[in-house]
Order: sequence, then C-alpha cells, then structure tokens
Amino acid sequence: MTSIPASMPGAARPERTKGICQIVGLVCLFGFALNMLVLFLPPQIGDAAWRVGFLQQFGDRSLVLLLGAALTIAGSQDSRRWSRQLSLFCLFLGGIYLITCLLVVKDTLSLRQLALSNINAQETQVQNEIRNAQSDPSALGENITLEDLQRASQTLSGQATVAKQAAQTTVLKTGITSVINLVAIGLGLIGLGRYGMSTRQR
Amino acid sequence: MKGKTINTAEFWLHKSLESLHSRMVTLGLFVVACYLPLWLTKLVVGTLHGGGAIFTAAALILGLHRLWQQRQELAGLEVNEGDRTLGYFLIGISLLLLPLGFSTLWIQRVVWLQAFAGIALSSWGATVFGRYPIPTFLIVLGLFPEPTAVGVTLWQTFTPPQMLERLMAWSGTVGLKAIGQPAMQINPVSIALPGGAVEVNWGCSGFDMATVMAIASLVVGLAIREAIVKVTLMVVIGIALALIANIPRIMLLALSEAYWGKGAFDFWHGPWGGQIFAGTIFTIYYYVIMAIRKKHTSSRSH
Repeated sequence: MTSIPASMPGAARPERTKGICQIVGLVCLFGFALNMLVLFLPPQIGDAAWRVGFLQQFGDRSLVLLLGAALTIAGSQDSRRWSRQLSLFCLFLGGIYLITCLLVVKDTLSLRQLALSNINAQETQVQNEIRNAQSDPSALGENITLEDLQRASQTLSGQATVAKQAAQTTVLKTGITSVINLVAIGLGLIGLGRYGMSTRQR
Repeated sequence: MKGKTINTAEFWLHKSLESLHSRMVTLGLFVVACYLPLWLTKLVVGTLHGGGAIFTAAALILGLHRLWQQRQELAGLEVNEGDRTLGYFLIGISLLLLPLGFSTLWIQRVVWLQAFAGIALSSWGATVFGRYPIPTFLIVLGLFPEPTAVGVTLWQTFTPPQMLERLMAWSGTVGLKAIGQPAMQINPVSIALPGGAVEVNWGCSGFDMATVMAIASLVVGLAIREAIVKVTLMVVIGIALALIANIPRIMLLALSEAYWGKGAFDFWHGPWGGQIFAGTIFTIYYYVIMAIRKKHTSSRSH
C-alpha cells in the first residue's frame, strides 16, 4: 500500500521533465525564429553596414537558440529519429555560424576602410582650403596671419588622427564581439550536435 | 622507372577514389594544393624582404611534422558519425570559398585552415585537437595571416592612444637624464636635447621587434621540446628584452640627432642600424636563454 504512492511520482517525473524541456525548448526556438524574421525584414543584403548590424543582433540573440536546441534535444531523447535529425541540424547550424564569421570579418574590414577613407577625404578637403588661403595672403582678413593658418592645419591633422583612431576602435570592437559571439554559439551548437549523436549510438 | 611511376600514380588515384571518405579527403587536399603555389611565392618574397615569414613557415612545418610522427597513433583513432559529417561539410564549404581566396590573403588562409580542419575532423574525429594541442596550435600559428599587422590593430584597438610611444619617450628621457644629458620631454611623444628633438613614432616603439621575438621564442621553444611553463617564460623574456632594449636605441637616436648630425641619425634609424639592433638583441637573448636552460638542468640534477 505504502509503496505505490511513493513509486508513482518517481516513475512519472522523467516524463514530466521531458515535457517541460520540450515546451520551453520549442518556445525558445519559435521566439528566436520570429525575432530573427522581424530583424531580417526588409533585407538589404548588399549593404555591408546592414549586414554587420544584423549579424551583431543575430549573434547577441543566439544564446536563446542554443538553449532552445539543448532543451529540445534533451526533451526528445526517446524518439530516435527526432533526436538524430535535431543533432544533425545543430551540427550544420554550428558549421554555418562558424562560416558566418568570415562574412563579419570581411565586412568589418571594409567598413573600417570606408570610415578611414571618409575621414581622410574630409581632412584633405579642409587642408586644401587652408593651402589655398596660404597661397593667397592678400585675401586673408586683417586679424588672420599665416601662422594662424599653419597652426590650424596642425590642429586639423591631429584631430583627424584622433577621429581615425576612434572610428577604427568602434568598428573593430563591434566586429570582434560579433565574432566571439558567433564562434561561441557555433562551437556550442556543434558540441550539442556531437553529444546528441553520441548518446543516440550508446 | 617510368612504368613504376605510372603504376604508383594509378595506385594512389585508385586509392583516392576508393570510398566516400578518401574522395572527400582528396577534395580537401585539392583545396590545399590550389593555394600551395601562392603560399610558396609569398614565403620566398617575404623572406627576401627580411620579414618574419620564415618563422611562421617553420611553425607550420613543425606542426605537420609532429602530426606525421604520431601517424600510427592517429590511425587508431575512431571517428563518430557527427564529426565525419561536420568534416565533410567544412571541406565542401572550403571548396565553395576556394575562388575567393585567390584575391584576399586572409580568406585564403582561413579556407586553408578550414580544409585542414575538415580533413582532420573526418579522418580522426574532434578528439585529435584535444589530444595534440601543440601541433594544432603550431599549424594555426603557421597559417595565421599577417600576425604583426593583426597584432598592431588589436593593440591599437584595446590600448589608450600612443601608450607605447609615450612610455618609450618617457623612459628614453629618464635614461638620458641618468647619463647626465639635459634631456626634456617637450610633448608626450618627443624628446628634446639642446641640439635637436626626436619624436617617437609607432615604428620606433619596439612593438614589431617584440612580436617577432615572441613568435620566434614560441617556435624555438616548442621545437626543442621545452615544458610549456618554460616556453611561456621564453616568450615573456623575448618581449621584455625587445622592449627594454628599445630604450637605449631611442636614447642613441636622440643623441645622434642632437649632436652628430643628420647622417648619423639616418644610419641608426635605417636598415643598418636596425640590423645591428636586431643582432644585439638576438645575441643577448641567446645568452639569457642558455643561462636559464643551464641553471634549470643543473638544479634538476642536484
């Protein structure tokens, strides 16, 4: 009499845990997919800045995908077919994450180049104006001397150097955090896939 | 002789198309072979221009050699299905990315690494990276695109602007004062003596020399099979020595600009001065490392 109520919840618990895992996992996956769809539309695939922004968001939110995949695999270990499919899917998704890093690095480098050349172009333009003014001293106002112009030119190049450094730091930091995110999640998904496949064989 | 060669070639051709796995490995090797001429050209050109290319090539060859030495052990490793599939996937993608690598150096190197990783994963499984960390590290280091340029960019991204230059200008001034010169720092990166002033630019901050010393000590340390702790020590000593030795160099440059004229400055600042400087550093480094090794072995034998 006493043994039945004690064993009943014990027998039911793994089933219930699996159910909970499946529910939470599917919610995570579904939510992630919808979020990404919203972020993805409208797509501007040709625009490097859009790609970098999208992939940054994508990497930031992928932790949800990882958790969802882990919980779904944990919840579907009974069904061999499902767990195998899911594991294979994780494996490929992980591989795709790692390869996406290439795109992030490429875009980061091109954005950096773009920012630097923009600043350079602006600097050249202002320096040219100063040089024009220097070559024509008669057009200068009463209270502006050639030394003032010289000093302005030096200040300008100093400021341009600082601006270049700042732009470079911003772009590279964004790129590096994206790459770290994507690599971490990609390796996590690959590990998950491998683990799922190895438990299937056991 | 010719018939024998043809026979061998036929044998390998047959063997390489025998199974799905050998076909995939052949595909991966094809990607590697496509980039090999480019890599060799860059190695020869880089070495002739006196870059650090020879060190990274040595790292790659050392890593592959280490793996080759373990070939019997490697043949015994078992692969699970997941690793094999992932390896094929990587090889497939590297084949797709192959055309992009001909124009961009870093894509070429990443695709190359990817093909290697795909071959290793599909033949020996992911355990191979954990079991042979040093060959893996050496191969990655050997194929790393432009380590000095990447190092410079990362350093500039994560440190305050002109940190190393300021440090060098400050230590140079302190050093000049210590030998009795009336040196002054007129701004954070310039040293002034009565006869003239020098500005410490990025090229004179000692960073490049420190990178070269770090990579060289790493490769040499792993090649002579030292313990990891000692290799780390060698790397740290290499970097420290390059940076410390840069201070007398800055002082010398400041003195030559101030007292000995433009010719002396150009000599010490140009390729000849650079070679003398590098030679001095490597000599000191050699004796320091030898002293450490000797001390360590003698204390071990006691």
